[in-house]
Amino acid sequence: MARGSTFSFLLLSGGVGRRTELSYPKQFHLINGHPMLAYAIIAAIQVDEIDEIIVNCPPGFEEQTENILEAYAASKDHMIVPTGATRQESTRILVENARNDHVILHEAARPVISPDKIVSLIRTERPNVSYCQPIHFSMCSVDPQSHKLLARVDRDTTMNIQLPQKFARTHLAKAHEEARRRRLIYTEDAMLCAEVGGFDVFFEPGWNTNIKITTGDDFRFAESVLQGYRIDE
Amino acid sequence: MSETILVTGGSKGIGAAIVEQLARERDVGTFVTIARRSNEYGRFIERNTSLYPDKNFIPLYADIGNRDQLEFAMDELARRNIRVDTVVNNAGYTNPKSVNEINIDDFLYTLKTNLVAPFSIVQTLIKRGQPPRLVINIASTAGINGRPGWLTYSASKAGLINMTEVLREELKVYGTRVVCVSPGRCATDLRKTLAPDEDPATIMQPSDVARVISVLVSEVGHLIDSQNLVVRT
Repeated sequence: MARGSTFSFLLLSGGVGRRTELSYPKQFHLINGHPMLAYAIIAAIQVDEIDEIIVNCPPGFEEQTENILEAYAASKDHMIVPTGATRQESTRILVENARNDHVILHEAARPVISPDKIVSLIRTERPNVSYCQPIHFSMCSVDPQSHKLLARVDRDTTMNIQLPQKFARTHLAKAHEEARRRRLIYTEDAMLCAEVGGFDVFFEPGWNTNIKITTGDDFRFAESVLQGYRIDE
Repeated sequence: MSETILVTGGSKGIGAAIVEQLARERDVGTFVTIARRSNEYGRFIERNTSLYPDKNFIPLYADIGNRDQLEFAMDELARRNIRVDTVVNNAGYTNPKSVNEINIDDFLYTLKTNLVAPFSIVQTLIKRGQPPRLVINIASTAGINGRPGWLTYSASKAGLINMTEVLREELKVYGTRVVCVSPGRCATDLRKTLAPDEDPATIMQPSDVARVISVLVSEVGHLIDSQNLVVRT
């Protein structure tokens, strides 16, 4: 990757987070005084290579999101784009609006992120890289109909896909275009880029505390981690 | 790499002592001071420039209780491309009066100087995408226990102590340490206003407080900064 490349920081923040049982989308919930959405922005604005931040938001929350961007991202170019009907569609819209050849994709529901983690991703030589975390527990494949266990999953060759992820914009855009044409639905972009786009995607080791906030308990975990602000490997 | 430190009220008293102590002891390369224009301020800068020719002394002129002047000084930092590593919010104002005698404008000016200006400086740097590594707020023991006749000063310093508690938590995510130091009786001009009949030679000197600040700035500073640090004889 060329030294001195600039990056667009694409932030998925369009979900409504029904499983957190809040009366509002979870990205606006305060963690230690800051809305969850702000944590990714705080990390991104401290990375010199990032020169624009693009965020989506749930319909009806444009003003609230804009206020947060003004408060936290005033030092970088930033904009809000519409949210798609699916996560995949939302990513496609974010990518379409990026001006740089390289993008960092993250989601607001992962607030335990630091500038260092983004910089490490940027500094990797390869264009398409995802943080992935080894799986420390036993897993198996099953038949959901009969509830029968079918086979163990090999932990040595299986990983938990995390964000942030880095992509060459054209690679990710082509993968999305192809997925749209073939009506394929993916729940994240690293495998979409690899399987649908046909581009090599590599991993860097993720970190244990990089959880995706899904339930109310997850908020309490993130609060504790962020209070100490240590990202342990 | 040597640091850049910003000291408000850095022309005399505790602020000047801090600049001199750190110039002698610490790897601070650039001292930015903000104070009102005066002959004393000019002489202070001249003296230090001559004593420490390898250090950079940048005087900015502002009454930090005046929002426009403070904004101009902070803009000047940006114009000169100065990135601040450590902020010492030291400048203070008092006009001790009883509840019956307090003029509201004077009360507001006290709050603006002692409480709002420290906030504005930190907020400006954060929103500029340049979070400082360390913020030291100089409060007062008068902010811990209100003193009759010092209502406006005590209230403003109590606010500063509590604001520090909040900032300490909220700025963790930026990797910023926020520290509160509350000196007791100290031989400054402000103390002369509060206790005109006291012999300054019998009480704590600004250089004593400056030595404590020097420890806070050092590599062991983080070991002693978890609470409001009371410094008194």
